[in-house]
Amino acid sequence: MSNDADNNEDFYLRFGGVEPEESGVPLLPPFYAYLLKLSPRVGLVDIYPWLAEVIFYSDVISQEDIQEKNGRNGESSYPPNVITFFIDDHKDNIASAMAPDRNGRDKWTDYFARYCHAIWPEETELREKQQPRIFVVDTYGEFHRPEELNDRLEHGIGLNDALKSSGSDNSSGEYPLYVRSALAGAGNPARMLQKFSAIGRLQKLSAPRGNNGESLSLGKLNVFVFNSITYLTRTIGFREAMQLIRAILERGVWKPNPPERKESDPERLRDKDGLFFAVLHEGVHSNDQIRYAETFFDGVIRFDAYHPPGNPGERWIAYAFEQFPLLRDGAHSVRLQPDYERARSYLPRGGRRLLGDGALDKKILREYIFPQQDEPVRSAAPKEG
Amino acid sequence: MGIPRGNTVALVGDPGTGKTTFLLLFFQQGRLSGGSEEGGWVELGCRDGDQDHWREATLAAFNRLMPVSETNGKSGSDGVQTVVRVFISLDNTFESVSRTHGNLLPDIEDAEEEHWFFIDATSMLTGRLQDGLRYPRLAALQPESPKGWHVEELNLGGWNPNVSEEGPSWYWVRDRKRPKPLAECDSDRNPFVGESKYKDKDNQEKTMNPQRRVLRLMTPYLGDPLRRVALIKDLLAALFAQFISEKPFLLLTVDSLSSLLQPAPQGAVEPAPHGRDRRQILNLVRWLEELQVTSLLAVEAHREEGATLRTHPLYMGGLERYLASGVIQLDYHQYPSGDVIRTLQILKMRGIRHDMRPYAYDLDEGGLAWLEPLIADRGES
Repeated sequence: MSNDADNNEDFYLRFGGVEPEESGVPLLPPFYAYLLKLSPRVGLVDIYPWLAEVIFYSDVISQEDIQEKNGRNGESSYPPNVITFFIDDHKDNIASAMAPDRNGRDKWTDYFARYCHAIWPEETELREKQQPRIFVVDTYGEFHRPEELNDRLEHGIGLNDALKSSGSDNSSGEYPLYVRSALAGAGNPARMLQKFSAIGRLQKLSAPRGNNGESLSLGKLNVFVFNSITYLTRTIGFREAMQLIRAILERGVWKPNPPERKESDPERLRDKDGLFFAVLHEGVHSNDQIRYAETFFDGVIRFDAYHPPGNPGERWIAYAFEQFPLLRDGAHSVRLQPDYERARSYLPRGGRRLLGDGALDKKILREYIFPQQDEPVRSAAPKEG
Repeated sequence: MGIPRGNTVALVGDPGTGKTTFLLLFFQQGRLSGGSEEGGWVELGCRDGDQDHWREATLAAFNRLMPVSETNGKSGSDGVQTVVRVFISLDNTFESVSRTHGNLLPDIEDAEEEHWFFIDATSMLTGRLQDGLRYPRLAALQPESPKGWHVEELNLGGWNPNVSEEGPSWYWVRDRKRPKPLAECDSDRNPFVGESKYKDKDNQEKTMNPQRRVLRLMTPYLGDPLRRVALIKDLLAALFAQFISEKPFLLLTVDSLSSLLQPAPQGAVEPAPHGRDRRQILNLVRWLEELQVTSLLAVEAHREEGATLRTHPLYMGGLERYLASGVIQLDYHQYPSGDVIRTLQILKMRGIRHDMRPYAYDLDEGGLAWLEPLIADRGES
């Protein structure tokens, strides 16, 4: 991993850390937001493997690399800053759903910490390649005062707490890989925005207090994961939930401070480019609400469940692009545009990654998975009557 | 950016919204910007030496709620050297405030031209004087004042609550046997200015700090709001008079106006001839504005019967909102989940255009910890 990339350069998110041909997700540019729209048949935990690819495995490559080395190997990759919001959901759920070995779970009070720390040997190589800087805002846990939050963010407390409580000896000298910030209650978007603002002011992750480890610089691109709009709607109402989404989009994705502005700091998290994923459960909302939510997003990725032909006992989750932002450069590049006519699928359970190990099924056609679906939103026309 | 100089601002809020914290924040960190001998505005700034960039950004966000055009004054505080800050507390004693809000009291050696006066006026409502006379042995249980503050007592001559229009109102109690009329104090030995030596209870000679002083009023219970206002005005007049030649910037905070103007209940020791009416508020507010005293006055919010936290309309306060030149409303917003967040809204600020949107905020030991536009939809339940 090289560190000499230009700060003014655009960076793209590479889903799962693999090429778009393998993942079915094109390189994702900054300044755009993506709605992960789950059909009523997609359950609560079915989205976890997909989110795990974003949170734990995705990396960042530079625009220069895309243009100059298109199709060639040897691109430099960088870590992203992953900022996740768990509403009425626990961050550990993702880690535990992806865990290959569940026997040792009881030893850990913070399963997410274990996953981040790449205890498992098969993950170590990936961790060394690029470590995402993960910031978790969850709505469970103890109440923190603002200064405690600042302290926790600045000193990376969270992972190390978890390591100590688990009895691990690996905490000394280790870099903090993620910090977390708990909220007391899910129904307070103002508090969530407060945490969001606090995270946005971060400039680097200091070494754990009392240790002499080097500080960890932030990643190149902010990746926001919001799980989910629907959960938040359940506690505060749809309009307030969308107000929070809009506030996050405006500050974290759309409007980074121009470098010439005095208060802009290229090393600060909120002044970096970003992109945004938010989950929406279709079955809970009215059509009006779904359409309204879609207006906030540039890309829509729809998820549905299906049983493969000849094997009704198996249940797979498929995802396909309904909408994607129009890009000027490389509009016809496979790496920068999705394949609208194909869906990708994965097994939602069993701790398997979406990518590699042959888990990806490229033969599932869109027409099969979404037989009753209307035309994609991007080309939808008003119906008469 | 900030409150125009000379404005009287009513800080209206429910219990727990942070009225005292905001007052102390202005008391400690309110600074004159764009100032001249008459103009300028008062904004919140970080304390000298404070490296907390987060808090600085929060205070700047608060100041931006009241943007001031360039025509209102030039930047800097040319022409103003002396700053006199006064905090009048009727609800909490100085020791109580220092215990709960100690971080917001100045505790560092500040600029020579800064003068802080904390006027502990709780006796006007609590009958503290009678308690002190009746239970003298319990005085030993009272906590000591924080270091760096020197406490002086002021009483009413002969413990007479009736204020004479001609005679002196306040006496300085350095020597309890021979209290000295405040008006007769020389400039070197009075509670307001000058440095003087004194001996503490251990007979140790100490130097009275000339910059941070507590003036503890020793009065019987005063039921008449107009009488309280008159005594406070007498005291402030004597205090301000000490600095006339320096053309000071005067900043006054009162916690709270509601207590100062609280009418006596029926059957009280001293029945109130005057209820809480427009005259009392007008008398004080106009007087302060004429003297160019920038004032923040805490006011308890009043709600109509049956109004709830979620359904009540905008601030239902009393006459203060009409008479004060500014109104900052502190409130709560309750989400359908039951979670509550503090909110702040500037409803009125005479002389400038200002942001009227509600803002969510949070408080901590250092004062205002966070400020963001409120995410709320009052129309949806």
